[in-house]
Amino acid sequence: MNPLYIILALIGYVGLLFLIAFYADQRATRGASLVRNPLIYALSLAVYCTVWTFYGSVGRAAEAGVGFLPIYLGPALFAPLWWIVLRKIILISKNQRITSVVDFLSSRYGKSTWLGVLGTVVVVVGIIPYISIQLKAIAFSFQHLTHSGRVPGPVVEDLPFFLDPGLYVAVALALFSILFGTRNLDPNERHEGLVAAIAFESIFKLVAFLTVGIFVTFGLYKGFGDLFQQAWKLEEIHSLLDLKQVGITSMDWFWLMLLSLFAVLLLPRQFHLAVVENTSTDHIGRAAWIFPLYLFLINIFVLPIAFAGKMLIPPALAEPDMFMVDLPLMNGQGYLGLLAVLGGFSAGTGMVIVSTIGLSIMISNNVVVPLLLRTSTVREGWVDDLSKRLLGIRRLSIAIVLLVAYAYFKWIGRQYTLVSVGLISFAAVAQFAPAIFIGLYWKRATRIGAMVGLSLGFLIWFYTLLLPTLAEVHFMGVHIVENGPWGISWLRPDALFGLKGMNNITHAAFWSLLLNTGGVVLVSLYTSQRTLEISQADLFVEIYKYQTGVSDYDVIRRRASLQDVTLLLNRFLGEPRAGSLLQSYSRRYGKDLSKEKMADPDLINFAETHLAGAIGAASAKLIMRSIAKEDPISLEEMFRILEQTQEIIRYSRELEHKSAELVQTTHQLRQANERLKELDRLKADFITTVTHELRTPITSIKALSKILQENPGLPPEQRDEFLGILVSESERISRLINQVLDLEKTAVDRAEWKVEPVELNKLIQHSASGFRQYLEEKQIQLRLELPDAPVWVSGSEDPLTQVFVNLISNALKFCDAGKGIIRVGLEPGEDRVVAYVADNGIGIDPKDQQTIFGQFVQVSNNELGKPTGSGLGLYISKRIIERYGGRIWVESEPGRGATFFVALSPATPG
Amino acid sequence: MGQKKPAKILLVDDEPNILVPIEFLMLQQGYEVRKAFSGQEALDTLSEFKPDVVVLDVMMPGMDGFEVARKIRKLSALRNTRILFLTAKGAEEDRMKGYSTGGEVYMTKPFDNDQLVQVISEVLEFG
Amino acid sequence: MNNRSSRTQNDRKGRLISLFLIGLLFFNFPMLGIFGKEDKWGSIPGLFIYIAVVWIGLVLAVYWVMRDISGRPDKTPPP
Repeated sequence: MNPLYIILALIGYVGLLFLIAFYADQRATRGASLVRNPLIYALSLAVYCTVWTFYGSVGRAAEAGVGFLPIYLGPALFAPLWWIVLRKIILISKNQRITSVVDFLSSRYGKSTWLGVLGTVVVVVGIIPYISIQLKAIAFSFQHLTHSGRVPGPVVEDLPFFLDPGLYVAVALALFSILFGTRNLDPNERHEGLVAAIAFESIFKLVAFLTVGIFVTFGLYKGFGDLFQQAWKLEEIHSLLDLKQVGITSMDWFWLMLLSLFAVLLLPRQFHLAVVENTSTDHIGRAAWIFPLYLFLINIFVLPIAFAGKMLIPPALAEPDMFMVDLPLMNGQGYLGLLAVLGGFSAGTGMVIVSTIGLSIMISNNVVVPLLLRTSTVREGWVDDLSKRLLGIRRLSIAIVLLVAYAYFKWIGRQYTLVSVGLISFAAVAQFAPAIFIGLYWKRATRIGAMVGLSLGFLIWFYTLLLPTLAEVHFMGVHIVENGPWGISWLRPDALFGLKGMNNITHAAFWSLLLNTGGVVLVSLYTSQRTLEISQADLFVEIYKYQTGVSDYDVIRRRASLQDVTLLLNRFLGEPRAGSLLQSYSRRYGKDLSKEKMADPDLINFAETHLAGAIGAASAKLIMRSIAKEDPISLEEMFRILEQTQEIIRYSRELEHKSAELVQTTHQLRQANERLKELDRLKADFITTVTHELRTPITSIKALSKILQENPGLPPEQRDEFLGILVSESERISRLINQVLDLEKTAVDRAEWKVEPVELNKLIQHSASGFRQYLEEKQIQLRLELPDAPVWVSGSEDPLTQVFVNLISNALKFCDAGKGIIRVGLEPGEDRVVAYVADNGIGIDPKDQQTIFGQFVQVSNNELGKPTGSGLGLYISKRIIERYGGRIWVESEPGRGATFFVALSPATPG
Repeated sequence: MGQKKPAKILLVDDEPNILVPIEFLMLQQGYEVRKAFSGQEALDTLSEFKPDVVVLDVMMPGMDGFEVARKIRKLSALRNTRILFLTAKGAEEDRMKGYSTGGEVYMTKPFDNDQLVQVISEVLEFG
Repeated sequence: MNNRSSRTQNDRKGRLISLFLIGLLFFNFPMLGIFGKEDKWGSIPGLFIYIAVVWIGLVLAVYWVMRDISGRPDKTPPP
């Protein structure tokens, strides 16, 4: 075929891709998205089918019958589990603004920089051969087409590079990736144009494959039956259907399925489209059956085409990987051959584009930026707008990745088949599976465990799979592969520890995944986690719990000046985007940022997650650390955490024991823990008290009312007695409920509390007057020592009345009937007004004088018998007084009464 | 049940309003009833009253119900006395503590009238 | 209401996991080993038919389990 037509067709195809991507981007900015639906989502996942599928499956089928299938059965089998596993990964990734599979790994294990670097190395080393093989296949298919498959031309790898179509393909793909993959920084905004183009490519390659398949099966033969009928006549083809004869063992089959099952989620391009570009987890619902259906359709004609090729193409000319192109060409169907080449082209380009974009994100977010940030000169010398610089890094890494891939294909990749190189890459990314899948369900998996596991797996992979390919191109001696290093045969890369009888992929997968998983689990059991690791682990494993909350809590509270935070956002995201982010933050949380000087921890977390979208979790953490101070944990904060998760407390207690690693914080932590234990105990006491307090009246109410119901003929005196008890016990319940509600009221800070001048002497008089009757009954004296002139303080009437009622009734509780004297008075002053409530009761032990103002605290005293209140009065009073900027305290000598003081700021009557 | 003499029940609780309905129910069954409002008071009554069943609250000021039960178990004269804990403490560990200090039955408040009567009559009948 | 939806969620998970396990069984040896090169339906290889039927069966079963999660194109832009 005339090369000009081919070039025109290719340019036309690429042009169409650009148009589609451009149109979809336009639609996205207009808010009428093209790609937000489950069908497009499922189709984009079909980027899984590369040239390996398009050409390689037929090639493999021609040699090993159904041996090409495990690679598709694995993903089809995994699809039902997506709703469980993939959905969890997506929810976590949206919550944490995760940008790649490596970022996910790093983020799960405490946003570890080094894990991110290690992961990126694994992916880059593992994927570049895979990309290069796509370039090779595309170039090879062009060449095949131009020579009409008849006369073998020069091998593509031997062409000078400027004549090599592979180079131009690489350049065009780099351009496309840069244009549609690096337009903006936050991948959370997604690349709708890219997704649309990929989905289109998936349709195109399927149509191309099916068209060739139908042509071969129904055009060259009279359908499946006829084709197979003819094929049986050749013993060579017939024996391809015997799994034993083609050398497929059950082990090989199983391990290939397992590897591909992992690959369909963990390959950078799959993770990118399935997780990062996902717009709704509900889309998984349909993708879970559309995607396996797609795989089924694209595989249905593989065997027929392979068999037809073997029957129709003379063995001397047969290039099984190119049957797809050759079968139409040799039967005079030039345009069908062109369609096949375009189909293969679409399969290859989709893979290359998404993979390079994915790799560039990892390289910039998990390697370049963290390393730049670690060198202080860069940190200090930030230039105006780092966001442009970051995009530059991404564009550069796309170009470099494609260049390296091209070089690999030129020098190393020549004698490898599509399938074998693809499987080597599958085995590489499968090394992420243990750390990621275990980390999704087991909180104890530690960063060090993940590092050890991944390193072991990667080393074994490198040694058993990559090293032999290097040896074969004479990078090193072949004897190492054949006899083992230093002649030690049990170290032979293809029969490690003497394990033989598997193909090299199964062998490598078995050893690498075994040691990898073992490393993750065993090392985790013997190492401990840092604070950030614990909270990240909790978030990942319990993501469904965190879904409902507005913001996640952090054990570490951080503070930074608002200016610094704004500056950072401006630099990394660009000013317009930073501005709109801050605006949306202040809208969502109802905070007016223009009035604030310090950024609160919520804002810092918010900024960090958005930065993470641009530069990766580990880098974002580093940058934030440069401006934010970490607060020690406050008591109240700990209490909140105590309520939210018992889990973290358990961990922090464990941490307390493992003090070696935490020398600096141990002391603080222990103190916090002491306070926590105290709070824990107090809370338990409080709950017991309240339940007891509630159950007692309920018990007698229940029993008595039943008696009244069942014994209508009770004597009237007895009935009245019972009814009297019912009334007083009901009152007891409502009193208790009121107290608990009061606690609720003060616990929630009420913004509507006004601050206004209050006449304190009148208020005290009023508060005391309610006790008159009770005082008479108990024969307790109450003396008011108030000045005649009005004393004004700032506060508001109802809450302050509550305080004095609480204090007076408290004093009454501790006074003996008959001898009690309570003095309530007031001392006006220049800068503060002090009121006091003094009694001559039993007094308060010095050790209790601090704690009595805490929540749920009752001074239990055996002589006094049961505490009579719920233990909330003083706590409520303290909250009220502190709200008005005042102070409350007690002075007491045991046995000689106690005096409570309340200090408030004076006010002028308005 | 008690053909010859009415069975004797001692009710111990610091909340008089809880004892009122129990007393009524017990009297209705024809039992002889005494009340005590603290652990000490219960112990004082015991030796002379020799009840068949003691209905014991746990959370009481001074001596708690478990303590009272332990003391009862030390008195040989009262080896046939059955102890029924009736308490607001429903946790498993409290229950275990109740059995280990010598209680035969552990009931939580609020109780069901018929059930309480039923349980006491069973205790009297079968020990 | 809430209870019910979480129950159907758990039912769904259970069904999906069983589908995975059933698929794992049918797509592996020894089940695959049942079909030798002499097993044919008409002239079409038994192994070819077997895998195709199990595969389509799996697709239909997942469709059935997930049919109420439509994931229809959402009109609202994400927050």
